[in-house]
Amino acid sequence: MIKYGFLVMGAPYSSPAPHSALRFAHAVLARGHQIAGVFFYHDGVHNASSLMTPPQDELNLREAWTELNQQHAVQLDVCIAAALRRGLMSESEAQRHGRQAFNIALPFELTGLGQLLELQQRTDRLITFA
Amino acid sequence: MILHILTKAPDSSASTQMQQAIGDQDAVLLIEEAVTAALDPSWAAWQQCHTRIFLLSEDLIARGLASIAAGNGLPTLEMDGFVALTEQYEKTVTWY
Repeated sequence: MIKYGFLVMGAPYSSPAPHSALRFAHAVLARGHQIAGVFFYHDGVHNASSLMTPPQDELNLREAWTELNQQHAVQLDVCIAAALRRGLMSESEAQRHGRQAFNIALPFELTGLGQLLELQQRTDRLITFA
Repeated sequence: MILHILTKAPDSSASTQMQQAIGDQDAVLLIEEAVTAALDPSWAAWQQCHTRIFLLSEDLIARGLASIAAGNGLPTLEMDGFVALTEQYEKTVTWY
């Protein structure tokens, strides 16, 4: 059993990276390995938006990531600096910055870049999808 | 021993940089836009890595290139084979 971590830097619906990462994730699990966590960085932070509303007959990437968290305990970390710049924030960050809305909620967590290093240290493989 | 994952077309700068970085023991997996390499069997990397370079079949199929890859006799892998490569190679580098 190998422990995997993913770094996702592509935006949903404009980059194929999130799709590639998700398909790879299911193949990893099917081979009996474990996925410890996913770190969303750069434009990849948009994967976490709770306001993401694609047409009903299309894959909702946020829901697909959420399912991975719920069924396989995959930690979903979002880089806070990359997220705030792009207008993605949690309720507490919205309060801190005086914003009227928020669009990051559990199971996604806003974290620092240190979490990426930590993910690399506690996994056997770190695969980048960008 | 490194697994290089190329996501951009063979004429991209990402591809050129990757080709300069490939070591003798390394393997290459072509995914996303990189599967357009199936159209060019004379691409230098096919010779450079001959037994250690693969196209991801799902991405070939998505672009309608599966039969062209087969016709050109180029090696393909399923997503399962992608995972197997990462089992074999401890280090991976994604070129994008």
